[in-house]
Amino acid sequence: MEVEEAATERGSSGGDADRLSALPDSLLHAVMSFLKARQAVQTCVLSARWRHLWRSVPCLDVDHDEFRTAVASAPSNHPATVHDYSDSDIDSYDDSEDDNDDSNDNSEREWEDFEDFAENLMHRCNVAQLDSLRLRVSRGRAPNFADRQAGGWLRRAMKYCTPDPPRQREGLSSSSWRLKRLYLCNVALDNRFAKHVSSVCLSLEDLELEDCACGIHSITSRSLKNLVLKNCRWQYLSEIASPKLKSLVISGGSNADECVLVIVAPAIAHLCLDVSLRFARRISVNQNPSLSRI
Amino acid sequence: MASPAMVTLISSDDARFEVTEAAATMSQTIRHMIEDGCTDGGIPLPNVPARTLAKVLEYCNKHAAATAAESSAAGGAAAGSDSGSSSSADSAGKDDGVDLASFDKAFVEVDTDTLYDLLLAANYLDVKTLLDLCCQKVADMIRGKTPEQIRQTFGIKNDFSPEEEEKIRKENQWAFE
Repeated sequence: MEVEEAATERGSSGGDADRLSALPDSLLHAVMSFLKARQAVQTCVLSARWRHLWRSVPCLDVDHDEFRTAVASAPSNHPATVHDYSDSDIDSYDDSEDDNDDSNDNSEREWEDFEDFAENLMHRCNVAQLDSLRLRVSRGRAPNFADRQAGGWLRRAMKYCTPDPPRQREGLSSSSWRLKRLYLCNVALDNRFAKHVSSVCLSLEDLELEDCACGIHSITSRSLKNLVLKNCRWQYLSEIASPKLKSLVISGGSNADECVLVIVAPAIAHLCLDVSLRFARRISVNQNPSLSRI
Repeated sequence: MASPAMVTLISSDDARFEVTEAAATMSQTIRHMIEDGCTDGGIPLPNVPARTLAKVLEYCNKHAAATAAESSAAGGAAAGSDSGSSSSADSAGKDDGVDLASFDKAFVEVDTDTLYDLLLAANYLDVKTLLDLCCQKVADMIRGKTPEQIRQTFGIKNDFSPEEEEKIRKENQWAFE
């Protein structure tokens, strides 16, 4: 239907105004923020107007799943000349249906492509001015080491996201990351991540970790408002503290049954602890033992 | 119950619209004008023609009404009304959610020119949820398309020479593999 529309538009007059490209950068960025990262970058070839827009997009959605069809679009038998790409895309997608018995090979290639993409992207786009970052590694189709590798991309992004590396200093400085929302799925995290959250991500409001291996003892932040921890494997989580935290959801996952988890969140309005008894020996919320084990 | 406060909005082509303050203040731009007391004789919106403003107000009226229904339902529950009425209010609230989602979906089923008009108006009037809705719709029209298909859909003129385009693809090959 849209293609038809485009056809009639083009048919009506040669000098049709391209109103999309005429929008200001901020609105094109807003549109691109709803795309997954790979397609957002691909807009660079549309026209000169679009060439560099992706570099400063405020929301990045880096999703392994976006590379499912990518395997197909680079057929191995001919090293696709760049012009082939757009035309062969749909046809070669069909091909992939035929040869998906070789799924191991596919997922390996898929991971390589995703890896190349993510590393280049983290280098070349302006990570410092991101508002929102989503990094998702597929659990089923990624190799074993994938979550640690993804953890490395994130660590480097956090380390080099600011012009000056963060100093060991109290309070705000110019070296904070403006990031507000961070969503990670199947990414391996350790105490360095937790340290970055508390010392660099001074604007972070929403943090969601899903299926992550977390060698993290403590999550502390002065800005965090919403925290969701879903099916993560903790070693060993014993503290969550944020003066602004309004909503905390811990759902599933494992920790250690000898751990005492202390939650300090004076502003909490919504609390959901849906974990097994072995998650911790005791969970205390705002030093109120009567609230433990909800 | 007192009749709700009304304000008058004036489009760029001098059409006047009477709306509730609750609907009008979904626009942060209008909210600030009201707070600054600039409402005498109507609020001029020189960037928004009547056709677009009518459409934006259709959105605001719908959403303001839903918000009012929701908060009165929540208020009723908080005031400790008996369980029967509060559960009926709950289910009414849920229906509203479904209703709003389908309203939103239908609302942006428009031609691209109208969509751009809405997008620009939502940006100028600063109605965040409407802006997101419009941006999401444009993104949906881009998603899954090849660059050439995107150019066709939106009438984007490829102003690169074949050599330039090849160079840019090479530069960003990592995103095209």
